[in-house]
Amino acid sequence: MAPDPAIVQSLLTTYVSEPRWRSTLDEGTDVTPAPDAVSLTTQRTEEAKGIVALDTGITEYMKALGALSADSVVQSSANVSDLKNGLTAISSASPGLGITSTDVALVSEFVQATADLAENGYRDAKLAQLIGDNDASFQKALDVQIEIVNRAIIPSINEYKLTIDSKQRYLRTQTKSIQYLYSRILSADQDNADLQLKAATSYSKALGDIKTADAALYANRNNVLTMAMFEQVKGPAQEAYKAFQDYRAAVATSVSK
Amino acid sequence: MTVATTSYDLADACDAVAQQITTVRNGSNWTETPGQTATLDHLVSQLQDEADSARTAGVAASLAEATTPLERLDDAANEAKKAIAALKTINQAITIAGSVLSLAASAATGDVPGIVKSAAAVISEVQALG
Repeated sequence: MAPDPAIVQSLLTTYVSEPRWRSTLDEGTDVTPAPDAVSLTTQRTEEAKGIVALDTGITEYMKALGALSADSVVQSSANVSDLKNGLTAISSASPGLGITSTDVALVSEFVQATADLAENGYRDAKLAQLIGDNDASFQKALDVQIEIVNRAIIPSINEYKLTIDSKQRYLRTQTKSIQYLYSRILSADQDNADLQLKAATSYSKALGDIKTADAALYANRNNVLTMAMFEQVKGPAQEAYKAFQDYRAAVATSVSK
Repeated sequence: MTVATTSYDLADACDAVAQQITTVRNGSNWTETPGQTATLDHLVSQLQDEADSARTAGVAASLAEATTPLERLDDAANEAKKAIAALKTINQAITIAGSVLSLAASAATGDVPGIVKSAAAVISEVQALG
């Protein structure tokens, strides 16, 4: 399961509201409501923004790497067809230039091959560099988010469930009408808490899976087509281009004779 | 042991005691006087209050640890987006080269509508680069 901002937002509602909610339930009972429930809620509201921002940072980083690794980024074929059309048009309009259909095909293929090679080399080297430079930050961000979910969000939901449990016991000492009214509310709260607990557990697992996948990606980052490989093939590509230029020059010379 | 970990540990300890008290009270053989009920209710609630405070402090400490990594991830995402833009520029340049050739062809044949159309294509593609 990939991180989902809506899930993160929803599983924070209990964390944010739990102190105030528990304090409200204590009103009208023998228990003294928590004196700092309101300030805790305010602080947790601010913390929730930080947790969402952390999730957004993790997600945006993954999306950016995903977008950069997409094949469509380095496919120049559509653009090369424009060049091919242009070459064809100029060869038809000015036959004196001596550009043949073979030339057009050669140039187009060469440009496409060179563009794909350059773009792939640049893209893959950039990916390897980004993964290498930012792995520690990414792992740390994931660690912090997992810690927050496992040690604050999930326990907070469990505490919420414990409070519901306590209040149901308290209700047994009340009149039947009060029991009926509040037991329905508490039952709905219990169901909601169970759902949030599932969401939080899934989110934590997803973050753990991403951590594992990222570690594998980091270990293999130099096995993708890198700039070093691009440098190796750049020489032959330049030689091929020079050979093509020589061929054009030879054709031009033979035509003029 | 970090501030965050210590805070979470403290919160967990408070919750564990509260949970234990609740479990005992929910047992079928448990009986308590009204005075005991008030005392235990109050104790459980106080433990939960302490857990809430410690947990809130833990999250604040955790988020503080994530500030620098988050800034670096934002920078990396922007760098990746710039790389994608650079690749698009390369492809756009190839398209422009083709359009310039089409324009030249139209000019060579005196095809006025073709010149206008090709010139417009070149202009719009160059503008797209910006």
